[in-house]
Amino acid sequence: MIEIDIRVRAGGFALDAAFTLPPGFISVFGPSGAGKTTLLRAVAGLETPDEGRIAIDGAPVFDSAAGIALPPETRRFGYVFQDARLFPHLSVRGNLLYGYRRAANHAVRLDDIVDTLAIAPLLDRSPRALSGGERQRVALGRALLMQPRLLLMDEPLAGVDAARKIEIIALIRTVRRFVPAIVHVSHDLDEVSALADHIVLIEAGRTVRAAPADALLRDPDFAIAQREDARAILDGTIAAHGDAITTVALGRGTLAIPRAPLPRGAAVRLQVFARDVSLALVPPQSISVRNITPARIVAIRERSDAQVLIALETDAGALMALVTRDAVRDLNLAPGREVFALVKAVAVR
Amino acid sequence: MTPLELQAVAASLVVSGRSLLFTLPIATAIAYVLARGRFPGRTALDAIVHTPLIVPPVVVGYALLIVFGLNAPLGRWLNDVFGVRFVFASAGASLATAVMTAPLMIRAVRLSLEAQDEGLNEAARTLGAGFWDRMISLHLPLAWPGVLAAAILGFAAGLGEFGAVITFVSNIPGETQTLPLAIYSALQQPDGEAAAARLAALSITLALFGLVLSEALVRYARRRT
Repeated sequence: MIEIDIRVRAGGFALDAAFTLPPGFISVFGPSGAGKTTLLRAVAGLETPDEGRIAIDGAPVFDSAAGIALPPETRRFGYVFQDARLFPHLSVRGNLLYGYRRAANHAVRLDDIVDTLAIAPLLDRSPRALSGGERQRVALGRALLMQPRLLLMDEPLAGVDAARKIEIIALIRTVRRFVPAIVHVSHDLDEVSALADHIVLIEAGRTVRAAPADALLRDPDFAIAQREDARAILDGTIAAHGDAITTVALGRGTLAIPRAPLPRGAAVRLQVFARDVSLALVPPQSISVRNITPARIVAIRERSDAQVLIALETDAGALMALVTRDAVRDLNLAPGREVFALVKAVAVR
Repeated sequence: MTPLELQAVAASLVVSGRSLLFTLPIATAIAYVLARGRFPGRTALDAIVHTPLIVPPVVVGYALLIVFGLNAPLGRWLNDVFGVRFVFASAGASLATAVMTAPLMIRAVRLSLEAQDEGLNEAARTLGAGFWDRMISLHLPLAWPGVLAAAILGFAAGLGEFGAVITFVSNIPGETQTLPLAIYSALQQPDGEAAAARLAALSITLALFGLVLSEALVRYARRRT
């Protein structure tokens, strides 16, 4: 378990963070200035909390009551800084091996990381000659090669241009197998939705909620559902490839996505935006939408923008639909009602 | 050059060179501790290190006599056990030079260490590098133009050290008589002015040469890093 329960006061800013979550991918999500970086720095040991406890698998690295405060160099927590912080006097290889040489075990090997991150052509270059995306990949590799017990990532996509973002997100998903647990902070909902097993919400220096990512994102009573880009996430595996379409198995159902270059059985995460889901009372004929699935209405919530959010249960998992008030009245939509969900678009990560 | 001049130049180079050899590693370590260390007594260490800069050099020489003189316990012990004698010896001139030049070198190294990005230090810490490890693997490689500049500064300043040297080890030609001491001796003699002028010109040449060398090395270093 990752246990965090700390109070930090740093330069007029107060952070009060508390959550206990199983290992996996934990995303701390909140706006800029909410205290995300302070939280990561405290976990790494670069900032000392005024009081509290930070422990991993029951072993504390900080415990004010017990007088424990391990320095960063003995915590074995890898840190991927927002600005990469590669050592300018070392080559890319030298940077990658910096933590590796100081690690007690070498379960994660240089070749594995170099292959996975596709950085072999960069090894003998100077960090100064790298692009933003390349720098971030090397920083990620360097942190993984120190064989961390926990990997901390501070907005890893901040310095990366939009075109490279999807690529780096895919890389981060692949490198998960090299590290038992990750705490990642971001203000980007796309990034968080694509990566997180658990989401911790942070607002104005306080963690307000920690929950499994899928449940939190589709909770109609929660703030994220009020956003224009409210969405549901579905974890599944590639089931079959057609000419133009790939079928993804999800729970007891399936969804079709545009043909994806992934092997059968590969794990994928689908994101279905509420605005891309329409409802029908009878299965529609002669329609371009490929994904039409029976659904049951679980909850209906009026939003502040005069639209209505409908929470649905389908064989493929929980979805959300965004419809107008008129539609709710005309179709007589109500909790418990059986309908058909028309999914116009699915984003794959 | 006359044999006496040659002797003085040689003595200066030997005294200052040996001083540099011993002082540079120690000054670098102290500079690192002062720049990056957080420990009780740091301010006190900072003050002690700087005293030779503000105390009259004669006092420093006198203090060295009290500690390392043959009548002092430490001086006698070093002489009896190791056969190391500082008073009236070239080694003593180096010791006095070391004490006088160390503050300058510490300052120079420290400035270049403090100018470094704290972010890199943090990165090295999270990667498992301890305090001294970071000095060797991160800070000195990045600060080496500063260390080089400090070394040349220390060497050049050492060539001109006068008060502490003459007080501690006296003015013995061929042993402790460095250039400035030779100039002083020449000036003490009737019609020694011409000899003093020649020695002064020598010492200015040496200093200028050091300055030009240091500029060239630092510029080379900047291009490399």
